[in-house]
Parts: sequence; structure tokens; C-alpha cells
Amino acid sequence: MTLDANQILALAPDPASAKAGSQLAAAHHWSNLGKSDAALWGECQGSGKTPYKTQVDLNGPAFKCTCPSRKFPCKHGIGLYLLTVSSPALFDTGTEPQWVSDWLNSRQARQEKKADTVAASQDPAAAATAVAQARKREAKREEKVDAGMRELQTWLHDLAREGLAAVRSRGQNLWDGIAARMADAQAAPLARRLRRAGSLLYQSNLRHAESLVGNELASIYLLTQAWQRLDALSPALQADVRALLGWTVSQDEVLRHPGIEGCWQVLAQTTFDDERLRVRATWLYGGQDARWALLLQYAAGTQGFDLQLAPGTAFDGELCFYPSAYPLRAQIKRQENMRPLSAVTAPPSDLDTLLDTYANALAAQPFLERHPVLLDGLVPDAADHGILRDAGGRALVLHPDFRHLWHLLALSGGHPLTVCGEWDGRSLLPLSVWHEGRLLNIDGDFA
Amino acid sequence: MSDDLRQRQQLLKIGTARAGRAPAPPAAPLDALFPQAEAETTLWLSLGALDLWERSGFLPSTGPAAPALDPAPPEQLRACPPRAEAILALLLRGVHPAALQSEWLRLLQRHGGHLPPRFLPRMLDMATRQPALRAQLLAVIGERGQWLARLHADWTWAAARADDDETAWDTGTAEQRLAALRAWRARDPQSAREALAAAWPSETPEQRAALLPALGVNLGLADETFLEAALDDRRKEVRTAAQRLLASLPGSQLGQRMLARLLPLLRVEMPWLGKARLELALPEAYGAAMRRDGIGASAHQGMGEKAGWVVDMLAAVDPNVWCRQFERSPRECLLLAESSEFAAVLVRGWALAALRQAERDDAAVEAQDWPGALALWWIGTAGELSKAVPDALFDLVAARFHANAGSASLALLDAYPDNWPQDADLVNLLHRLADKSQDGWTPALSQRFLQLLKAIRPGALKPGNTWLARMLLPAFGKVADPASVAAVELEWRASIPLESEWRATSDYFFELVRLRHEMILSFQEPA
Repeated sequence: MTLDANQILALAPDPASAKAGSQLAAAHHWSNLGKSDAALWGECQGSGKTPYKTQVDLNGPAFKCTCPSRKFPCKHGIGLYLLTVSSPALFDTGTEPQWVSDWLNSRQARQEKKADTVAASQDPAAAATAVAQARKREAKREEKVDAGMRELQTWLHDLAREGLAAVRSRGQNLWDGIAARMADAQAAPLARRLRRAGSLLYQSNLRHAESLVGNELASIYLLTQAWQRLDALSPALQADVRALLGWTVSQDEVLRHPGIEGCWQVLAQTTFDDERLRVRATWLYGGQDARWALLLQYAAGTQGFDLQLAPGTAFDGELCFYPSAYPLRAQIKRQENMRPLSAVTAPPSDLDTLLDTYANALAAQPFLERHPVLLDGLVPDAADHGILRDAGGRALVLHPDFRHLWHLLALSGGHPLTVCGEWDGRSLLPLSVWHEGRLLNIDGDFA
Repeated sequence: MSDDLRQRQQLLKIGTARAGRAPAPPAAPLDALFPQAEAETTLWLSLGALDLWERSGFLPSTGPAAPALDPAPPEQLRACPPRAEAILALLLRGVHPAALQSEWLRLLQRHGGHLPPRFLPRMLDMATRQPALRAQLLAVIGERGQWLARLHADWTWAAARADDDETAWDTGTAEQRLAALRAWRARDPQSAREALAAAWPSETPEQRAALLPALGVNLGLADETFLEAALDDRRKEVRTAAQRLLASLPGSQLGQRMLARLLPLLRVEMPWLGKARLELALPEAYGAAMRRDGIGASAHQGMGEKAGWVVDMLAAVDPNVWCRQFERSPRECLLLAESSEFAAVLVRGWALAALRQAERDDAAVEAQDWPGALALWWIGTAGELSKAVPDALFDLVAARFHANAGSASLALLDAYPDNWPQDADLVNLLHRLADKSQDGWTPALSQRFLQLLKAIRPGALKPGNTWLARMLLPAFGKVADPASVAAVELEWRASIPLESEWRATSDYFFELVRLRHEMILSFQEPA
């Protein structure tokens, strides 16, 4: 299967690469073009003497190129992929040359290694020392976090005594200060949340900023208490609390757990900045037990994301979930047979089901940040553009960050829509819309 | 938000120290969860608990059902082919020249299709900022677009209904009233003029000056009486607007009066030896009647006062009158004027007249004879005299160049001398013809242009001197017939050395044409 031109361009790490890539999608730049069921390859004349060898693994899609660019995928990869869409006749169908099959095999091998659940055997003595050292490091970290949580509670008590209104005049420095101390206490996610909460107070365009900040700080307060009573929590919820305080679970560790097999549909994707990182959140739905999965990817600077998933496609594969009381976040263990999505097979839920599901989710994991929804029968209210109504006329408020009200109205024309997005208990943030037999992702398809 | 939560939010805002009271634990059943603790702990815990409580127990408001809006009716136009839709998404990324978006809209209109709804907000916004795009967009927004435009205050121009015009005319802002009047004129010129005449005495002078030019839409002899009266308006801007309109109206009395003033001044000299030439005697007297008709209203650079009067008179007469008067074609008229002492006056006057004729929305085909002849004459004329043709005329020629009416465009390219790359004015004109063209060129025009471009190709071998290519190729790429370009692409590429500075420009050119080719094909595939 191949993607269409726009889906390919969406893979580019930035607009400049998309532009350069589309300019390279012309026959005269290329030689030795070829394709097989699994891959595309070609040689592109760059500024150097030897042409760059560019290849695309169609099952990912994944890219590799011999050019020195640090962007990923590079313009040659994008150009090659675009060229096969615009002029498929230029590509000779045949077996992969050595340099292509080597790469494909190494990718295959890596996938198998991922699937390989047996941990590498180690010298027992060295392993014991390593475990002891790790335990020591861990104890030290827990101590730091302990101290950090106590300090944060004191700080929040002071804040409650003084009042948000009085604190407001002290500026962002106050928030940066406590954030820095949380970073010292190795609770980096809290540092980010505190900085962001502080900055909300100074956004003039935000209504009810103080109550948003109040709720966020209260949730952080609950987290500090949860930490202090960690032993009383279920192991799964302990994992959530630890993740929220900055403990990471390595990818390998996640992949070591048994995964969930099935057909996975890529239903929505959104990319946003979190301080210096770019974060891409992709919602998948499927598996044997018909469930949601969230794929979070991080990229720094102009780099692209290593794994490319286009909304509106589906693949067969296996997903491994991070430990959690309400597992959503996952890693892909195996992925093959990518194809365009011809229909959403996920049953869209009605509002009542959504509210029940969400209440159960919060009961299991009260710190849940994002909760996916797929709702059908929603009509944008023509008078109040911040509202969608279900078939019974009940109102759902759109998230204040949602910027595409007019696109929703245009797609709907007063008729019901099927919307995929995130629900936070008060408002809906649409991320994609199923419209006339295809998925339109709001990041990207809503020009 | 519940009162319970609101109270606590308020307490957090003012601070427990200032409020002087501790928050009570939340109401049952949550109260059972609360330990005895200091006020701040209770405040934070109850805020957190109530927030979760509310979010997990969210009840959507049914609210007063808004007056149900009728859904948009089904589209009458065809759907947009999927490949064409993908190409528009590509164009809207802003990497390619904006002219391609216009071409895409034209192709969609020819296809008889409507714009996919996801593009409506962006395109309506764009045309709101650039009114020149509106007519083109209106043809393709379909039922959905009109439905949507009615909901957005900035997009009302796209949702205009017959009865809306009259309401807007009665109660709208100055800008809306002008738009409503123009739309009304387009629909029913007579009743629109009557509405304007009825409101005329009560309009402010500024309003009168702003509204009058709207009569240019569907201007006809029926409007003449009203415009003649406006020639006596107290406000100069109103008089000028009326003069301009009457001057562009063939058969108007103003035109007749101008002709009557001009005829005694003009005489064709037929010397025994040499060419026939048109002689002009400058007018002597100036009077109120002349001022009323707009003579002497504008300054003409480099001309005497009396010569300026003649330009004003000529500009107000349908130039085709002279063809009949002298029994000569426009080109022959220009040759007749060329050797006159006042050649610049005659050419300027005719050119302005031709411009006024062409500005009209319903300009007839013969209105293009004069602009074409003037441009052709200009190419063959060097020096001071060529400056008599006003710049705006070339925009006009360029805007209609693609149509090649009566092969005039081809004739223009044929008139180019071999050494045209050395003449900056001629290069500029070529650039403008391509850049300002409002539609793609025919194969014949494109091939002729490519032939002309051959003259600059030897430059590809020398370093520097790339400005000609950088100027002409990107502009030509926007209008060239793709098949004609594809036919010469190999030969061109072979003739340009790899390391030439031309390389990038010509690559860009061929890419652009290729994309346009793909775009044109994307509308041809069976839907």
C-alpha cells in the first residue's frame, strides 16, 4: 500500500523539507529507480559526486538515505515516495538490490529482537551488583522525591493562605522557582506542569484562568498525597503515580510484556510543543478486545519522528501497553500490512456511554490526562459556535484550544458528524472527523 | 460548576489568611473521605475531590434548544475529483505561487464541481481579504458554501440573496450599501438606479461620490439622464465619477459633445510626397461647458494645458468612432497620428479612451482592437513617443492576453524584434504579459513564447546574466501550456550545462509546469 501525496508530505519534519521533497519528486533527479512489495529505492543526484542512495520501507513507512541531512525523513526520502505516487511507471518492479535488502533485513532483525522477550543472559555476580546499584540509586531518588513532595505541599499551603489573586502580582518567577526545585527533586513532569499552570494566569485571553489553575494545582496536590501513601495503592496505580512524577519505563521493558494482537486503526493524531520537545500523540483503536491505545512520540528541534503513522490508515500488529490502572499508552511491537482505512469499524459511542466510560476511567486512574472518544451524531450549534449537540439536543462544549469551529460547521452543513477526539470531563477537543468515507485529521487536513 | 466548587475556588483566590475562615469539607457523600486537617489541606483536597466528582458526573445541559437551523441542501454541482482535492491541499501549504490556486478554482469551475467543504473556511477568509478572488470562488462554493457564509459576519458577501441586497441597501453600513448596490445593479440595473435616485437627495456628498461608480455595473444609455444631472453636482468627486461613467458609455451625449469639439480641430493631411498624417489644431477657448464635461480636470505630464484639453476630449470618445471617421483600422489610425506634430497627444487620448471602454464589465469584443493595436504600435516605436501609451494599458493587454482574440496576442509576440533581450522595456512587457495573465495560454501562444525564449538561451553558457531567466521563466511557468513545454523540456535541459546558474531557475520552471499539468489532468480523470 502507498500513501497519497498529502499523507506523505505530512511525514516531513518541517515545511522546508516538504517543499524540498516535492521539488525532488521529478524524474530527472533520480536514477536506478525500483520497487518491490516491501520497498522503494532510487539514487538521487545531490550536490556531491556520488548520488545518494534513498530507500523507503513501505510497511512503516520508514526511510533511509545516505545523505548527510540530520532531518528525518530527509527530503530525498519524501521526494522518492512522492515520485512513486505521481509517476509509478518510472519504477522498475524487481528484487531489491543488496543495499536495500540489507537494510530491510536489519529492520526485520530489530523487530524480531523487540519481539524477543528473553532478557540477555548475564554473569550472575555482575547482575547481582548491578541490581544492588540500581536499588541504591532508586532509594536515593525516592528520598529526593519525598523531600520534593513535602516542599511542594508546603508551597501549596502557603499559596492557599496567601490566595491566587495576591500571588498573581509576583509574576512568573514564583512559578519558575518552584518548578526548578521540582526539577532538582527529579520530578520533571511536575516542574513542567507548575510552569504551565503559572503561565496560564498571565494569559489575558483565557477565561476562568484562575479556576483552571486551581483545578490543576489541586490535582498536583492529590498527586503529592498519593505519593506519600503509595504503598496503599494498587500496583497498577502505583505505576501511574510514578510515571506522573517522572519515572520512565524503558521501551524495551514495555515490549517485554505480552502485547495485544489485532488490526489497529490510526484514528487521530495531534502534534504539539511541550517546552523544548515536540510531542506527537496518535490515537489507535482496535486489537482483539477493541480498545484504545495512545502512542506518544517525542522529537527535539527540527528532527522528525522516527515512526510514521498516517491518520486514516490501519495495520495488523501487536501493541504493548505501559503499566497503568487504565492502560492507554502503548508501544508498537510489530506492525505490518499498512492500508488505508475504508471505514471506521470502531462503534462510535453515544454520549451516555462516553460519560459512563469516563467516570469508570477516572475511578480507576484519577490523574488521567487524556481520554479518547469517538462520538457520532454530533451537530455543531449554528448559533453558539462553541457547542456540539447530540441527537437529543444535549450540549457538549468544545475545548477552548479548539481552533477549527468553522471547519466543523463546513463539514457538517447542519448534518450529524462523527468526531474523534479527547474528553476531559468538561469539554471535547476534536482531533479528527470521519467525513464522506474518509478520515480527516484536524492537524493537517484542515487547511 | 457547582456552588460547592465555586465557593472553594473563590476561597483559593482570596486566600485562607484573608478570608479568615476554614473551608468546610464537601457535602455528603464526599465528606466521609475527609480527615481532620489544617485549613489549607482541606481546601486543596476538597478542590481536587470536587473537580474529579464533577468531571466523572458530568451532565450535559440540554439548554434551550437553539432555533434549529435548516441543514444545507444537497449540492447541485459535481463533486471535486479526489486527486484534484489532494492537489489543492498541496497548493494551500503556501509553497507554490498563489496564481496556481486561482487556476485550480478555474479548473474546478470548468469541471462543474464544488469546493470540498473542508477548504471553505480558508478560501472564504482568503477571498474576504482579496475581493478580486470573490467572483471566482462564488462559482464553486456550492450550496454548502452559501449555507456556511450566512453564519459568518465577514462572509456575507458570499451569501447575498436578492432580498438581502435591498435590506442591506436600506440599513447597511456604507460599505455594505455599496456592495448591495453593485449586486443589485448586476441583477436589475433599472430598479437599482431608481433606488439610488430616490435616496440621492438625502445622501451626504461623500456617500454620493462613493455610490455613483456602482452604476458602472451594467451601465447603459438608460442611466444617462441621471448621470447628466450628476455633472452639475456641488461635489467635485461626484462630477468626476459622472464624467468617467459617461465617457465610457458609447453613444452618450457627453461623447457627442466631445466629438463635436474635436472634429473641427482634426484634419487629415495628404501631402504629394510622403505619408498621410493627422494634423491637430489646439483649441483656443475654454468655457464652463467644457469644464462641466471634465475637460482640464486632470493634469497630463509633459503636455501643455491646451494639449491636455485635447487628451481629455479624446479620452471621452469611443475610439472606434475614429476608425469610421477616417475609414482606417486602429493600427492605420496610429500610423496616421505618428508623424503629426501632436502625435503624443493623439496616442495618449486614444489610449485613455480604449482603457475606459475596456474597463466596463460588458466590454464588447471590438473594445480589444484598440488596446492590441496600441501595444503593437508601442513595440515598433522607440524613444519619447512610446511614453505616450499609459502604463495601465499594458495591464489590460496582459489580462486578456490568454484569449488571443483575433490572434492579436500572437501578432504581438510576432512583432518582437530579434534583439529584444537587449531592450529592458520589451523584456518587462513579456514578463507582464505572463505575470498578469488571467488564464493559461493556448498551445500556439506558448510555443511562440518558447521560440522567443530561445533568444536568451545562449546566455545559459555564460556566467552571470541570469536575471532574464529569473524574471521570465517563473512568470511564464504559471501560464504556459504544459504539453508545449514538455515537448521542449529534454532539448532545453540538454542545452543548459549542469553547473550553469540557470539550472535552478529552469528546474523551478519545469517543476511548476509539471505540477500544473498534473493539476489539469486531475480534473480530467473520470470522477
